[in-house]
Order: sequence, then structure tokens, then C-alpha cells
Amino acid sequence: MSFMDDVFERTVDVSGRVAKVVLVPWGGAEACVDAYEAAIRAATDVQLNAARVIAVEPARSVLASCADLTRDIGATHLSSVRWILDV
Amino acid sequence: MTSRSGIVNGLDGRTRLYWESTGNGDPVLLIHGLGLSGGAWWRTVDALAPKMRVITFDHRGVGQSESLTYSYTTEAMADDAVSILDDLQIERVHVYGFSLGGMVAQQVALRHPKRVQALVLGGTHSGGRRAAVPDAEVMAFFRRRATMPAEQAAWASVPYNYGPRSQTEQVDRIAEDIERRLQNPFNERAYRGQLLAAWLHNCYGRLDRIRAPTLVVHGACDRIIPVANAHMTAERVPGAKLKILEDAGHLYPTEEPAVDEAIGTFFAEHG
Repeated sequence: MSFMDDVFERTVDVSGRVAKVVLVPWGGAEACVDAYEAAIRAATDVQLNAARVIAVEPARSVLASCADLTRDIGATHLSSVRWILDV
Repeated sequence: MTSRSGIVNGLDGRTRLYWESTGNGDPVLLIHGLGLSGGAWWRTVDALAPKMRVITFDHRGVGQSESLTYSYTTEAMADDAVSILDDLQIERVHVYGFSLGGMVAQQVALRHPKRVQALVLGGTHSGGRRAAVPDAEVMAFFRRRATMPAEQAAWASVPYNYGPRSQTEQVDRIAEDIERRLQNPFNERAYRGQLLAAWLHNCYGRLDRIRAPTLVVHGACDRIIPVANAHMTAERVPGAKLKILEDAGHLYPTEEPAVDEAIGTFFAEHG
């Protein structure tokens, strides 16, 4: 492992440990990440259901695309946060 | 043998997912890997279809499927897979994902647990900080491959995709694989999108939430996704079985034909 990789690993490790301590009052890191995931899924589902009900273009396409964006941006956040927190 | 195909249209008006269904019996959904199309499952379809209904599909942007953007996540690809099940009115299904498809299969099992009867994770990893990564030579090849002409890329992949024994003893089967692969046009942008999805994939911390009976299959000589990942996955998924194929590389379905029968038996046990 190169020096920079080592520094990066240690920085991420320390950040993760600090974040875990900070999140304790809210039920811990895992519970917070789960709650964020649940919120993303709920927001995605609301938009998708609206797209199904509003069968008028371009509203339907726009709503469905927004739902996809919400899911995928959320997935990217979750992946990164889980990586840092190692949960 | 009953065989049919169709297209599922996404609500965004642009995403179209092509699927094929072969055979009758308990349904099994096969989810293919990076840069391939559903047609890459031809050996497994032939092996499983006499006893099962085998469903394959092309991931978004690949083969006959299309998508609005080339920004993918394994979550999106899992939802695509489930939208095909919805269209086929299949409530519960066996799921077999290979490589990138295995990552998507993990997401299907976590995001849609009621839809999964049994799960096979082949030649895959769960992401996260603890994932064992391929060596630098393999990573450099992945980046180079996207710019190569399709046939050159397919042959250049051989040392990475197959175990050392197969490279000398199973040249005909490897050539068959490549011939089949070249029948589908390679979409460079979709390939990069899939690479991004694989890079972002992170299910390690949640593997213990998978409730479906699970079999983890991996080639011991896999250079693309090191075999240590299979051990980690099998340890994390409750009750998972682990099958390591000693001489096989990443594309073990070509190298170990008997594995499809073992997977069929696993599904039958959990039918």
C-alpha cells in the first residue's frame, strides 16, 4: 500500500469512527443509514405511484425520471456512507 | 420446449427491457454479468430449461434493452429485474446472478425479499471496504477493454476470464463463448455505466438480512473477482452454502458444466 493510500485509509477510518460516535444519540450509525434508505425508498415510491396515476405525458415521464434520479442519487449516497461507516 | 420473448416499457418512456422465457416449471431469473447480454446464459438455459421456466433479460442499455441514461446503479438494475417479473405476473422466483448480475441479485433479495424463493450468487462480491479487489493488471485491463474493438477485447479477456487449465484444455468451449458474445453488439457507454454500478455496489453490511436460502458459487482461480469474496459472502449470509470450483476461473459456467446441474438441484430442494 502506498503512503497516500495509507493516509486515505486512516482518514476514512477516523472519519467513520467519529461519525459513529456522533450518531449514537440518534440510534447509531446503522439505524441512521437505514432511516435514510427508508426515506429515499418512500420518496421514490411516491413519485413512481404518481407517475402511474398521472398517465399524461410528459408529466408521467418526468415523474418517473425524477423517481429514478432520487433512487440512484440516494443509492450513491448510501454506498459511500456505508463504505465510510463500514456498516 | 416453450419459448417466448417480450419487452417491458419503463414509466420514463425511454427504458425498454428485453426478456426471454424458456421452458416450464418453477421460474428462475438469470441475471447476467458485465458487458454481456441475456444471451450469454445459453449454456445454463439449456441445462435448466428441461425442468424449470428460465427467464433471461438484457440489462438496460445492453443487447435489445434501452435506457434513458447511462448512469447505473445495482439498485436500478434490481428494480429492472423485478419490473420484468411484474410484467410476467410472477410473484416469487429463484434468482441466479453471475458477477455483476450477482450484485444485482443481492439487491433483488434485499430490496424485494418477498420475490425471492432461493438465491445463487455466482462469481460475485458484496462490495464495501472489505471486498477483495483484483490485482492492478486486471484493473488496467478493465479500463483498456472499453476502447478495444469487440473481437480483440473478447480474446484479450481470455487470460482474465478463464482458469489456467481451461485456457489449454477447453479452447473450443472458450471459442464458442466468444462467438456467442460477438453476436451482440458491445455498447461502450453501457459498459462504463455497468462498471460504475459495480464500483458503487455495497451490500456487505446488509448481507445478514438476506432471508432466502443462498448458494455461493465461485471459481478458485478467479482473477476478476478474487475467491476471498465468496468466503466473505457465504460467512455473512445466514445459512448460505459455499461451492468453490477448484480449477475454474471467473467464467466457471463454461469451465465446469456440471455446476448448472448442481444449481438446478439446489433450486429443486428449495422449490
